[in-house]
Amino acid sequence: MNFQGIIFNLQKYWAKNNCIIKQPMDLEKGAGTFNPDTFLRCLGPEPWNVAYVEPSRRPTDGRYGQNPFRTQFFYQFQVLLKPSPDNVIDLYLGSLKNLGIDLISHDIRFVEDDWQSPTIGAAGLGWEVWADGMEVTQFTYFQQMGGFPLKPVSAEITYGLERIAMYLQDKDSFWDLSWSDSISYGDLHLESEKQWSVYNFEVASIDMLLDLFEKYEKEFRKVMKKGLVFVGCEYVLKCSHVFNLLDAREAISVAERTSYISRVRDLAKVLCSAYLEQREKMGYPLLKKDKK
Amino acid sequence: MGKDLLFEIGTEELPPSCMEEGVTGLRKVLENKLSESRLEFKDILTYVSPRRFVAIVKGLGEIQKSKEEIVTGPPKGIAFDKNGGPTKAAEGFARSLNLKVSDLEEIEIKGKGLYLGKRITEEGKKAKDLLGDILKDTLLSMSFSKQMTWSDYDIKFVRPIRWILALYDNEIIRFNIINLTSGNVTFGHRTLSPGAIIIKNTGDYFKFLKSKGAVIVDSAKRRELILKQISKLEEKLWKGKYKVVLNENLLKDVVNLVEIPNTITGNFPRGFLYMPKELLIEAIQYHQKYFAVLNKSGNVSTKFIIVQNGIKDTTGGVKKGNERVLKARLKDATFFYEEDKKHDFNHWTEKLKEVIFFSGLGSMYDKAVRLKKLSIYLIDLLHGSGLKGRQDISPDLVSASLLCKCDLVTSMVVEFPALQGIVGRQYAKEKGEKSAVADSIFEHYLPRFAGDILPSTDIGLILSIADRIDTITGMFIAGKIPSGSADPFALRRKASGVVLSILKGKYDFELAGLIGYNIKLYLESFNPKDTDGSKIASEVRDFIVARFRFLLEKKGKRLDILDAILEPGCGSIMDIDLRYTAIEEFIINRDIKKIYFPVIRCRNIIGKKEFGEVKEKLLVEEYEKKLFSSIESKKSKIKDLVVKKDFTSVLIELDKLGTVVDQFFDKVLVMDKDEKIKTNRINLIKKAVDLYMTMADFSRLIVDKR
Repeated sequence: MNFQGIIFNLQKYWAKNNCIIKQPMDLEKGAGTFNPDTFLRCLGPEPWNVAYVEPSRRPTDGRYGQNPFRTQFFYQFQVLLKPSPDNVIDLYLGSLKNLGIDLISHDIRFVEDDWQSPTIGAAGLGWEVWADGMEVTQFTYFQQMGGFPLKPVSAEITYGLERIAMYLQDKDSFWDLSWSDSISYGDLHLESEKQWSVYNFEVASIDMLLDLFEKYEKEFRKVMKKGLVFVGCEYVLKCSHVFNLLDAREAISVAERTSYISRVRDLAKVLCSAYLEQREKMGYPLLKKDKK
Repeated sequence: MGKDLLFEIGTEELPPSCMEEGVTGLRKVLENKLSESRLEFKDILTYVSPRRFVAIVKGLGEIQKSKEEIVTGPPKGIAFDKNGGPTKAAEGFARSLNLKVSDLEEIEIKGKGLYLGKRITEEGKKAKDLLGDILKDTLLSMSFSKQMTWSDYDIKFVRPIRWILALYDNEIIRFNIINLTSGNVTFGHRTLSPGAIIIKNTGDYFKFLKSKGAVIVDSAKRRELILKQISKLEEKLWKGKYKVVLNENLLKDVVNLVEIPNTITGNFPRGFLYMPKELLIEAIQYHQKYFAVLNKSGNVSTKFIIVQNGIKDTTGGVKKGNERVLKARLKDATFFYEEDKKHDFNHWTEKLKEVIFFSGLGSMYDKAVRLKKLSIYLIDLLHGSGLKGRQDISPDLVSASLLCKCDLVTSMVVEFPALQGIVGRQYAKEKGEKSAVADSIFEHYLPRFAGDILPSTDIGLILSIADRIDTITGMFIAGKIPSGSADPFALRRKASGVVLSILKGKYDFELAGLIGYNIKLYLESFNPKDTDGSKIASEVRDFIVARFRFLLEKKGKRLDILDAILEPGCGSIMDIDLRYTAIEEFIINRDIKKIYFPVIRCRNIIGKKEFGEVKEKLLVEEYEKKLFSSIESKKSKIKDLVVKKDFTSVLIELDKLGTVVDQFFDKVLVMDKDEKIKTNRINLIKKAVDLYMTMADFSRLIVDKR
């Protein structure tokens, strides 16, 4: 199954299992978790089942295209199920089977991996899922977001699409994966991976980034005063990405690091609290829909 | 007598780190609940596998023990009038129990006499009617250091609970928790045996889970199986040419990551073998939990061991997949190793300045500088004792103290935290540091856990002591003092490390001096508010001595001996240890009573009076003169012996003194009519006590009084 086939397959599977299929957000972010469809929607009592592809960026993970599966850019397939269904693991295993993974002749393992994202005050408990030793999915029961405890709890299933593809296509490297029958993943991404690695580690203007951080933070405060929660969310994400770039440039000392993280976390907290308030005022529209 | 109860809590995959905590908790809670419910049982066995906590109560009685309760009313004298008829009080009491006075009896209450009362016996209920509540309570009372909630339920557990099996012999014990009802259904291996398995009888449980479910519930058996498979590989297939590195912690983890284990041998490309041995082994073990394999000459080979959660790698896909993953992991490890090669210790030292040691207490670089000063201070303290006549290690110690924290900022240690110290040693050697310096970078982290090896050199020992004391002192200054079971910075373990290293090095120094100097260093650079230096110094000292006490207690040593030594205010661990050994041997080989009883006699007389000098001219009787001269002659002798740490000889001297003390008490009346003579005699006894106290407060010993 080629890379795009995997996406089609997962979309179909999760659509069949009551998820809406959304499209990625048009903004740089470290993971599908940062997309407001997870970041915000996991808050509050409203049910929410969604699946989407999320192109993700982790500047410090760049290896100039040298490592077979560590890159600064990759694709996640994100599923959020709220509340977490009782058969959630069976649903997940069903999706692997549906992709053609023979569960009996392979070693599928759930290895403890408690997840935390200090920048957005998020924490969850769960596993990384190994298929023959390869981490193919991050599986998390969200416990907290923006510092707020979550009830109901959502299950977040994050597939590493490239890793699953390596597994299905029996390839040793991202770059050798077939995206379609004629185009490889490397054709699409190897050159940009090299360029971005150079940029992230060597070129990105530190002064500009420091300046942007301040400006984005300020803009966030401004839009939040107007109650523009979804706009505010994007500024939190921008701050977070700028911070990641600064980190890759080693422009932030360890001491400053803590202070930057806590600044972003403060924004996230303000954001989440405002979102919760707004949904409550709106009378939790999705809760009503669910009841109908 | 009794039947077995089987209780299985089916969960999603448990973290290996919580399994021990879970089964210990389960056993304890269940034991309490059963006892509280007056149910008798022979034993509770507990088991854990990745998807289940299991308790089996052996020989659980079918009927609850009956309970007799005595209800008492008025005393006999008040309950009946002169004619023996019941009074209003008696009638009222009977009414309150819905009984007639004639149904009541006279009951004797110890020390109080006869009362009107009633023995009420509550018959025991059937166990099977009680067990539902007991098991439900047990489950709800289990707690974990990391807990979670799931879906919309109001329950906390370590991972979501998906089924509950509760069987008393062959009867289901029903109860409900959240969305679950207990039953007789269990589940086997997630992928090899996805369906439900019905257990009709507790005796079928292990058998059925293994044969139908592909699960070995008992972790000891899973461990045994892994080891058997490995030794079969080593002996049969490799014919002794290769050996698996059996890291105990890794093995523990792996045992608890599989419900049924199957070991597979994989290979990785030779190109990675250039990496230093220990770094390579950790890269193999750390993320993927593989076992490394050494060849005959003790070097890492290209083989590695995968422990699969399954029975067989039917298609070879498991092996192939894991080989691919390890290759990429090793590629990453070499990337970090090569990155580190571009830097040197100056670079890392600079970076240390940015690593916070603890909020308000500066950076790791500040710590390294303190370590340098502390080590030198300690060396000076030890000049008279532990290090006498040995080669001057100060220059190496200074280098080592400044380098020992550097590896914390290397890419290798950031990626593989367990390599701290090991990477430091490796890089120090690669950068041409002396081997004594390089080795002590590793050694200063020792001991890493209870039972770990200790540093082997003076540099390692001193640095290890200084580092631990510095951390403990710092945390005490920051107010992070361990309390109860909360010890987030593992200060107790660090204090144990201090004690063990001191004893290994035979370093005799007063803790208070080093700690006081340490506090001074902290306060010079940082100025935490309201720091009472001398109070913290004695708290830290007491904290470390308390760990010494704990270590002795664990070895089954006599704490009364320790208390006797500590009473006069001894503050050198080594000195305490030598005194302890001497007293302990003396008790075994000789008669401590000859020291103990004279001391007790002296103590009984002197009380807590004011004392003065003994006036020789007021000594009139023969045996008080003899005691005086005996004390005088022994005083300087004992002082010398204490300096030489020859405590056995001190005890022998005190033993001899005992005879003189006894003769004194037998022949001389202390309470003379003449106040001056009496006071003088008490002062004389005080002198004797003081002499005993130079060794220990013997009155604190627990001695058979016969």
